[in-house]
Amino acid sequence: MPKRKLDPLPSAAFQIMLALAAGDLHGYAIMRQVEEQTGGRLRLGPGTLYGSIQALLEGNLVEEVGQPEETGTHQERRRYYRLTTAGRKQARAEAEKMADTLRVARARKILRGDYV
Amino acid sequence: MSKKMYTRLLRLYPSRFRKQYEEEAQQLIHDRLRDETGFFNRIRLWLDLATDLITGLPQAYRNSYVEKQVASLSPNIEGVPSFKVLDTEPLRSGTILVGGTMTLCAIVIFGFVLSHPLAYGPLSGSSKKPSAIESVLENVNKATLPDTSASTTQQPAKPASQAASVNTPQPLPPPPFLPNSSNAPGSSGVAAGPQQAIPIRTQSSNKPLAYPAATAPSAGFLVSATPPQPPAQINALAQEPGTGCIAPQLQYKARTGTHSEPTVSGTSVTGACLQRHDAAVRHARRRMRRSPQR
Repeated sequence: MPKRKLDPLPSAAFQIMLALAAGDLHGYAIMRQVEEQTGGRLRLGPGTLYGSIQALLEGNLVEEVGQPEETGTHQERRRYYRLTTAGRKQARAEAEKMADTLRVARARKILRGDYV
Repeated sequence: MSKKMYTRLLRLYPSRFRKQYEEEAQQLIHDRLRDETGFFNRIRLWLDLATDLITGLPQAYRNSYVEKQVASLSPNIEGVPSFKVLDTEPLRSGTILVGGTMTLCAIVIFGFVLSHPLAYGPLSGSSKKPSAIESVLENVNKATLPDTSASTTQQPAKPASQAASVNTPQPLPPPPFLPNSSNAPGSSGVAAGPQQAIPIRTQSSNKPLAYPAATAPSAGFLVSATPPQPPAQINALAQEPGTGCIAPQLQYKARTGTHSEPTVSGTSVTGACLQRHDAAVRHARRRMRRSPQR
C-alpha cells in the first residue's frame, strides 16, 4: 500500500506547486519564488525543499524536465521541475478548499476589510 | 567552512536522499551563501538550516526514492517480450540480515513441526457433536459398515419373488431376497460364505443383484469384510424420518425402471439404508398391485 504523504497536502508542497505553476524552475529558484509569494514567511531549506519535491515526484504531481538550452551553456547543471496536469488539478483543488475556508472566515467576520 | 559543515550535516539524511539530491543541496547552500551576506543574514541562514534539519529529516526518511522507469513488456527486435529491472541498487545489509534471520526461523519452526506429530483435533468453529457426514466418514474410515446380509448368506437360497413377498418393512430384517450365485436368475454372481454382499436392484431385470465384496465397484458400494456390526450413528441416521442415509460421496440411485413404479434415489448403499429402501419399494409395489383390484 503506498504511503499517503500528500494527503493532506503539506504547506511546503503546496507552495512549491504554486511556484511551479508559473513555469519550470530549479531548486534554488523554487526556494526564492516560495519566499517571495509568502512574503518571506517561508524559506525552504534543502531538506524540506528536496524532500517535498521527491514526494511530489512520487505522487506524479511534479516531473523532472531537461535543462532549458538558453541556461544550460554557461550555468551549472541543475534539475528543473514542472507541474504535471495531475499536479495542477491537485493545486486547484487545494486552492478551492482554501477559498472555501476563506469564505467561511469572511462570513464569520474573522477577517478584516483588507482581505476582502 | 560553512559548506563543509553542511556537508557533514547532510550525512544525517538517508543515503538514497544524499545520492539523489546531495549535489543539488550543496548547490543551494552555495547560492544562499553567495546571496545572503552579512552577519544577520548568515544567522538567519543557519537558523533556517537548523529548522530545516528538524522538519525535513523525517520527511526525507518517509520518501521511498524509487527511480521511476517504465515497466513494460515491450518486445525487443526479435519480438520476444523482455522484463526491465526496476531497482538497480543492491540489497542493503540490513535487509539481508532481516531476511536471513526470518528464513532461519521459518526453517527451525518447520523442522520442529515435522518432528512433533500433531494430534488430530476437530476443526475450529465446529461443535463438539460431529455432523452426519463426519460420522459417516468416520465409520467409513473404520472399515466397519452395517451389513446385515452376512447372516442371510448363511441361509438357504430362495427365489427372488418369494423373498420379496416374505419381507416386511418394520422392523428392518435381514434381506431375505439375497440370491445365491448358483441358482438365482438375473444375478451377476454372489460369493457366499465369509464374503458379504449387498443386494442392488438393477433397472432392467428389476431383480436383486448382489456383488461379492471382493469384486464390488467401490464408487457406489460399501462392502465390508468385517463382522456385521452396524454403527449406531448410521442406523440412527437411516431410521430418522426425513433424514435418510447421508453419505453424499457414496450416493447410489436405484431406479425401478418404469415410471409408474416408485423410485428411490439419492440414498447411500449401506446395509441398513438399502434394506429400508428395498422394504419401502416393495411395500409401495404391493400397494400398487392391490389398488387395481379394488
